[in-house]
Amino acid sequence: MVLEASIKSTDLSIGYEYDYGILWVVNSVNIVVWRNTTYCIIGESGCGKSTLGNALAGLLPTYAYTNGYLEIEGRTVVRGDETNYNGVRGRIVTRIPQDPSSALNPYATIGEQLVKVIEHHYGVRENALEKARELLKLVKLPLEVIDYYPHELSGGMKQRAAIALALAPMPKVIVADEPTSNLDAYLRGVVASLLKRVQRELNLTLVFITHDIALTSVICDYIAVMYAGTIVEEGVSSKVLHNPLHPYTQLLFKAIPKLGYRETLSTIPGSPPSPTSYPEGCRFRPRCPVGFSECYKAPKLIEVKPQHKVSCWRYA
Amino acid sequence: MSNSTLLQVIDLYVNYRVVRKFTDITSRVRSAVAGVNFTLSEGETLGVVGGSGSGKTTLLKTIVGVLKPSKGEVIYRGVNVHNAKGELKKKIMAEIGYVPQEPSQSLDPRMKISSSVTEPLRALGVGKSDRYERARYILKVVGLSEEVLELYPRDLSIGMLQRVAIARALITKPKLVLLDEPTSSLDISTQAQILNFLREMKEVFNLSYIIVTHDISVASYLSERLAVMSHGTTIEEGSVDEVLNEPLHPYTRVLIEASKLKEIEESLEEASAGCPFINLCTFKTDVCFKKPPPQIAIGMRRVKCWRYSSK
Repeated sequence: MVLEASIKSTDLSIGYEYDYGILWVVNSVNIVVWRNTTYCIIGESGCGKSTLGNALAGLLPTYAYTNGYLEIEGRTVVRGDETNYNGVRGRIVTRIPQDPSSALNPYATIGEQLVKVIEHHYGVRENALEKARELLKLVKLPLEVIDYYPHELSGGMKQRAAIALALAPMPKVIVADEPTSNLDAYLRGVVASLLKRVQRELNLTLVFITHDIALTSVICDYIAVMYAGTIVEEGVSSKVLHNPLHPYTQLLFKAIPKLGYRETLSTIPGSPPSPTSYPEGCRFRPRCPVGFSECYKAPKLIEVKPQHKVSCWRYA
Repeated sequence: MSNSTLLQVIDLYVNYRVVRKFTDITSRVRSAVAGVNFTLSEGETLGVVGGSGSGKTTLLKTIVGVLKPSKGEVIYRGVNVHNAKGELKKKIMAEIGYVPQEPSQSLDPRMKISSSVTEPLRALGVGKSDRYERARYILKVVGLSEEVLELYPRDLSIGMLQRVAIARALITKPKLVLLDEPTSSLDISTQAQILNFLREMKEVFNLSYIIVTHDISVASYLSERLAVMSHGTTIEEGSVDEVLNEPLHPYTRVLIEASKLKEIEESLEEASAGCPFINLCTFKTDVCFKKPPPQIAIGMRRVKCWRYSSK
């Protein structure tokens, strides 16, 4: 199988205006997401992963600033400070939000919403209802849900309905922004497994944004670790998970409590920097236990092992 | 660790009224907690694990006295928590600390941290200077600077807010602290800090915890005993090692698998007349479809499953 790029970004930066100029929340991100794979973006809150996800889904607010290039399925959607998502947003890329209720209309039944989306994208069709039933079957919802209103569904069922709605325009890329963070541990695994199955069955490109590292090993092919607006480590999921190279990734993985493991957890000293005061050079430097003089210069994301990139001076 | 009993929960039921205007329903009450039994010794930590809607939070709110039980009793050191009055009630209030879910929502945004943290002492009638002295001490213990007292919740990060919420629970020198999802809204690195900190507090003040969480690895990190809750009852109870190494109930097995990073078979839970876990179970028999299983004691452990009824 030849790998074809579905999403390609070159020095993509995204910023918001604030009192003293532009605050660059995402800085010079270079990523390539291959078709029919699952790409995970992991990181702690405030590291810019949702902003990057919104840029991929074409849902940046009007006051956002952009820089660099972003290509989705062969179309350039971001070029410098210009953005043009026409024909891409909602058709080629759809997004599954963190809170499924925010994607569902409370005054329309699930069936009505699905049919509306299908008809909007593919014209009025007699078999729109049939297609809606197929979508419900795909996400394993009982068929009577077609007549239910969102408030009649439980949290896990709502998330399934939101996934069905995101699949309705038959997109090529799906951006799932923390789809599991409102669910309990069991449903998390269920929804993640469901997304993975749908991705395989429909040959989709799935971008999965999460702070739950345990889930990534279940569903991801590639992992990018974000810290303070930059990607600090990227690679094939098994390599990143089993042999993390960046000190931040190593510390982060050690901080997760494991089942039946009772020794004191190691913690990362300090807290992540705010976008208004990013430290000079490597942004992890103030918290890094193995930093040295080189770290006052900004490191670049380089491939140190096959299919495993890291942005750290220790490997340069 | 002494073996004296600190807390006893006996056959606890908590019902909520179901409001339906137009449809006929057979029962106007729904039990959020339906028949929970457990005993907690001094210095021991119990982890309560379960999915959303299993009645974990209602259980905690009932133990702390915010909700009244419909049936059953909560006995703290030989005193029924819900019947205590006057000085005795104040003493129990002081000795049971409660850390609610979502620190950002449980702290009043219009109150300074100093007022929020000292509020439990005010309710107990402690004088102002004593209150502030104690607040300064407790903030130092939880690792925050004194300046935090003059700030508002919006000025603090979520990890700091969680420390403030824990400080508010510890300020009355409790013996038992109830923690409702202490880390579910935190990032991984903050979660590790708070978990280590909770363990440290336990050593310093010789505390007992009841930790309610849906994450079985968080519960097992802090607890000596685990209770798995679902549909309002504890379906399995035992020491951490026993429950993790040989889970008896199929739901416990699924929870453990969910945290062991395996792909889970998707199934929609459906409550039936019999056991609510029929869909998850590979050992089901005829009786499972007919009657909900009774609680069965195996040594020190307890499980609700028909499979063990003959043993």
